[in-house]
Amino acid sequence: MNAMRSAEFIAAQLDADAPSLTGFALGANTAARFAVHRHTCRSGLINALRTAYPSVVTAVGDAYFDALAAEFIQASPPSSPVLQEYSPAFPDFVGHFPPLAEWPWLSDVARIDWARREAFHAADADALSAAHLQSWPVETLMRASLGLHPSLYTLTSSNPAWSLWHCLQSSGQSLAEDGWRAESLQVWRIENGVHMRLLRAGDVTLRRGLADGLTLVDALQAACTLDLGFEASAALATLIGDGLIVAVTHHAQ
Amino acid sequence: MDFAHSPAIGLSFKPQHFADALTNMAAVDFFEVHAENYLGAGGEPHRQLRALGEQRPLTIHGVGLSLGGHHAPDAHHLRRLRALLQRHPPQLFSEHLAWSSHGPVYVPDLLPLAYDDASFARVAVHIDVAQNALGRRLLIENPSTYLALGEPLAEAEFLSALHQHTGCGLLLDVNNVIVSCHNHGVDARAYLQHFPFHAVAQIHLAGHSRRVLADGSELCIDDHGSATSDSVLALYAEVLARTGPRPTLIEWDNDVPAWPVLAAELARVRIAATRALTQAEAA
Repeated sequence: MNAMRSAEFIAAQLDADAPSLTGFALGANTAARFAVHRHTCRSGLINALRTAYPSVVTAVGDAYFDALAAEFIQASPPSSPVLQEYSPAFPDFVGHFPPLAEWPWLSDVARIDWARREAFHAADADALSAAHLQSWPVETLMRASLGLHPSLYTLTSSNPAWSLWHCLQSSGQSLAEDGWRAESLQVWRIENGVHMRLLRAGDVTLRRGLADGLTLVDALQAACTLDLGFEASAALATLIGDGLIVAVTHHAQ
Repeated sequence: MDFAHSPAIGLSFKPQHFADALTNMAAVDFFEVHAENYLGAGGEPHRQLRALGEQRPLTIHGVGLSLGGHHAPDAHHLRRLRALLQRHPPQLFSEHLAWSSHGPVYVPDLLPLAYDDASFARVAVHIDVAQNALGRRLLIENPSTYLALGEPLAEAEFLSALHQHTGCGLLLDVNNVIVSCHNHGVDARAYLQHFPFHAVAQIHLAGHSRRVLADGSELCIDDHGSATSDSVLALYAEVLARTGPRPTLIEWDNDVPAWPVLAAELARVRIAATRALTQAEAA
């Protein structure tokens, strides 16, 4: 099989509607034999997406999800054999899929699924204990940069993505009438368990500021400026309690 | 006795069996995992693999190098594999005589190649590249094939030449021999007559299913979804008589049963292996 033929082979594998292999002299029952390869490839990729996006499966149902995934795998087949990394592009695809235009929140629910996948596989790091952090003079800590746990992901949604994600985990539960609001959240891993926490705007600013390398005092200030109800000491206690601080970097004065 | 000449019976590990494996490990001599499932940075998968590796030898099986492809193995993927092999040092690392990537696209399948001079030149270079990048010897596995590419009798000689040319070892998948030979109308024993048994460092066993085609003929599907068939186990006994003791892995990747069923399957294969090796010694 030459290079062009290899490309044709893969293209025919990914597309269930394409005719079977044409122009290949591969003996009797070529279509049935090729169907084995097509099934292995397509079911492997669709299953990879089902595993990565369980809440989307619940939201749209098995048959619809498979059809949606079939469209996606043709548009964006993987480039890497590491299928647990396939695919961060799916939430955007869901968000731009015309038949799902009435469900604008679904792509954010998919982003939560993906953040959970990322957090599950993220690097290990030991959290600094409250006792350890309290051993520093407050002034010193405030002027330091804090390294956050590698599994921490913050997401912001203009929809109640966190609430909807939880509704999808418990079948039959629906969102309260007055529950439709923007929500932000963090996803992170403690030991081997992936957790989620609803955040206020200031919490998001604090985490993103620290991730960008701001000192603690600057990150807290940014959070207070953006979010008038933000309480710095409570926010810091949550950050420490969640095991999210893994390093303290001091800067020369 | 080194691992590659031992009669160890191993199991392809599934994360859902971690607790069972830890508390009831007596049935298993070694564990094998797919490399591509352990390339994440950290977390539970690595914790489990570390815990298993503390108690049993590990072997790692790659499914993504696409050694039979038109392009050289991906350098980034090779670096990740090398890091994994350093993190969880396995006794053996194996890959397939197949391709799965072309240009920017990877498909989760093992695709057939023609066993001609052009393919040989390409695959030999790719194995060299991979062995150099990983700093170790690869084992290359005979694939299961369905299309009239990858003709089995040419395959055994192709693998033999690859072994001679690159120094790679071979992983003999006995189920794949049965599947491919059936699908191409070739006698499995004729295939094995051409197989370089001295290069075999590991054996794979698995279950397959059969599908009836429109013309009434049957196609064997290598689906790893059931116990090893009696025909595969009988051929395995003949192989062991030729190779001597070799670490043997049971692959059960779909419709994965509960731990006791796997433990029983391990015992069944162990009995077959012991009998075959005892008879070969007596002969």
